[in-house]
Amino acid sequence: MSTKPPPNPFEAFKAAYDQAAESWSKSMEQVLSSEDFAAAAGRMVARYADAQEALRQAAEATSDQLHLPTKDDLARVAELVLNLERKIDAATDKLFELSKSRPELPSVEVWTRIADRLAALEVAVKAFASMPATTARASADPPVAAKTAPVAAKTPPSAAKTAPVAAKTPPSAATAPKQPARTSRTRRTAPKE
Amino acid sequence: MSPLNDGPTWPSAQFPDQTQLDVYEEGLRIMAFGGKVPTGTTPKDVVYTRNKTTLYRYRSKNRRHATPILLVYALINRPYIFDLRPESSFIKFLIDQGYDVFLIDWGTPGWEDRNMDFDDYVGEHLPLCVERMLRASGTDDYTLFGYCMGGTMAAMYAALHPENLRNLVCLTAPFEFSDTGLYGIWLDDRHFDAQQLADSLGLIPADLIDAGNMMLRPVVNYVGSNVTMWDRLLGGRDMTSFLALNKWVKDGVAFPGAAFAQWITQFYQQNLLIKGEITIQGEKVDLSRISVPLLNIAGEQDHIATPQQVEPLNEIVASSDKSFLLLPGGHVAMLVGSGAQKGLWPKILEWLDKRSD
Repeated sequence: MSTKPPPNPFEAFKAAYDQAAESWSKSMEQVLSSEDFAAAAGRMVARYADAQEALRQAAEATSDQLHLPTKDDLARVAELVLNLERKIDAATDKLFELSKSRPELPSVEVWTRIADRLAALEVAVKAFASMPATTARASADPPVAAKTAPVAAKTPPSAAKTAPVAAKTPPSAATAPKQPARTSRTRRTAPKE
Repeated sequence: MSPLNDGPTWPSAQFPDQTQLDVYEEGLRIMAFGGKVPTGTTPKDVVYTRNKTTLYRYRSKNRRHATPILLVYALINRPYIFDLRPESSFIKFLIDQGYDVFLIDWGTPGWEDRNMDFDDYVGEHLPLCVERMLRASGTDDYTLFGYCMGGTMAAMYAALHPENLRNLVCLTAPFEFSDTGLYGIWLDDRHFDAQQLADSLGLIPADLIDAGNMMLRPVVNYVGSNVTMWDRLLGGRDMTSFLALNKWVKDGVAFPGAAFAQWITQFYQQNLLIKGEITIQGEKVDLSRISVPLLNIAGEQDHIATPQQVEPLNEIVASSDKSFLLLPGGHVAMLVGSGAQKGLWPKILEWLDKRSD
């Protein structure tokens, strides 16, 4: 076996390219800038377009025979969605303009704070509902809860910020309502009782 | 002399070992499937979406300028060219300099979008994005920055909606189409029927658009780029930026048929923009209505939007504060090439800093 390594094909090609690139480019440019090339390319693109259209029509006819939705059918559905999106956009714009022109109306920030408070309340209720029944019963105090609940609903937004923290800790004997603990399932069925 | 017998030999004295074979395998994989590196990694928020259009926001951690920048790219190719890699990201550069940056991504059109044209993009989506951007940034004015076809669209929009616009920057954007070189020859209406192509295909495939661009310089684009790739790969050089650009080049977007037909017939074949005869939603686009400060930039080696196509905007606008920059570089390399960080970017920044709050 010879110790001389075989030639590196890339180095050979690179050398050839470096030597010839400019002349290749000039030759190509001459061809590409000719009217004949432009006419031939135009004809080729036109035939390609014809072939693609024929293929699409055949696919559509086949889909139609097989009772399958065609691209056009799907596009029509998509257009309906786009129209809906346009309407939502218009409504959002109107709401934005309205909130700008009527500063006395609750702003997005106010609604966000209310949503945050509701979420905090939900967390608190879930935490309470998940407590074992005996613990809840032992620590509950219904009269206090009945009195404090409406007050809590009227507290300013700042109070809402503390709610999630409170929800994480088990209600103490002094503040927890004296009601039997209910799971979310029992609460949902409550109206039937 | 046959180069195969007497030419250069393998880097190693041995017949290619496993490592070298791995390198060749990697090169063939890149040729077949393109580069696979993460791109567009700067954190961003979605501010607004309409159909396939998405408006992104890139927040500056040390915002020093109130005037935000809205980046608009072409309908073809992906806008992550503005944020290609962290080390070559124009967006990262801008947010590091204290600008709030917004970017419009036109998305990938579906069959239902085949009838969308510039009326939809410039007349409907762009105004919506501007409005949402102003709302999100809490400012009254902004800088509009368009690149490539996005620059043409930005200038059209600036002519139609000068309200709230503070500055206009156009990067390698064509405005004058009377002499478009090889494009002009190929797209001559005696040979090329854009409307027929649009009607037949609905969406013009990205590969077809890419082939047209590549054929402007076929030897460099088809052969030279591969020579560069192999050279870097076999030389053990860092491939990241090459692969990122390679990925972007091959990651084209289909052109909605109606917009394509309009772009070719009204812009390339009839040169209606510079004559003020393009209409968007029934209103004529008169570029002479642009009166805001203008920075218009062309690349000396740009074959896609030649300096002759770019510069005429400065002659037509009414702006008293207008600059035309001719910088070394091609259509893409100018923005993401190794020279961009010391050439183009600081020049844009200097111009913007003087004209932004």
